[in-house]
Amino acid sequence: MTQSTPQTGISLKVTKTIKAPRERVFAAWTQPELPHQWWGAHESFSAPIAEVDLKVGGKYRFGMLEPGKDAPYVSYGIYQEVVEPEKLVFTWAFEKMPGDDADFTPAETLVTVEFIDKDGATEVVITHERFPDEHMRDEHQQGWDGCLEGLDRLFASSN
Amino acid sequence: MVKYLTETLDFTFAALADPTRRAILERLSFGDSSVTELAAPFDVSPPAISKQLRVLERAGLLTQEKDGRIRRCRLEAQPMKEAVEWIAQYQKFWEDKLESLANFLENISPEDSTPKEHDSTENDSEGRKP
Repeated sequence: MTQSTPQTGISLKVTKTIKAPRERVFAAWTQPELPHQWWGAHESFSAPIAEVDLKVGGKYRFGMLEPGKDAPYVSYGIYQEVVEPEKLVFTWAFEKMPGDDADFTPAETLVTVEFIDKDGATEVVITHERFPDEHMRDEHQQGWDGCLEGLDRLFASSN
Repeated sequence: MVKYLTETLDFTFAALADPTRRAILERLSFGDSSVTELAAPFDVSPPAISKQLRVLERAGLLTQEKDGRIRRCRLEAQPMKEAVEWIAQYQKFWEDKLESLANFLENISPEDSTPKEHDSTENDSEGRKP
């Protein structure tokens, strides 16, 4: 699958400092019960699906549901690197949905999440690479911004 | 020019040959819209909606501009005008046929009215079919 993905060099980077130690921020990504509380491209989304098999070669599935829709947007992939509590690298693609063309296969992309200690807070740096086009990159940029705002709210409310 | 027009028509008709893309265009005919709003009525994955928008963009039927972090889409109707003009060439063909039919009906003698009534009955029953 990866070999057919063109290496376009189209990528994005989003960064946000979360007011919590990186062990806890790392846990928010990797303990399956936690993504339900913050995952989603927008505050209004819910997160009905969070499956994590945290090991290199393990699979994850995160689903976010937009208000008024029946089916969640489910992204999935395989962990390539797991360095607790510093770094996660995983492949990223969206599962097919009922309205997608039968022959449509979304491109597989690559996500690196770094958790950098900043005096007890955590700078989260998301690098997302191998987008097939700029439009998809921009959509993801917006989505990741929304996710990081959700993560920020999670720790803002629990502190 | 002919080659250019042929290519334009290829893209236009290919872009229109999909119910989701036609629905997107219908939505845009009421006004500009964000990608999120356009995707809302469909159970399609984000990359799939992106692909549909790209096809419309390539056909010149849609333009996108960034409004801060939001992408707004706009309908560009010019290529459809060319498609309509292409289809309109066949209007003359239909008009000629209809004129022949009118001539034919006018020339039927009043006594021989059976086929006429038969025709209209048949048309009526056709019309009532669901």
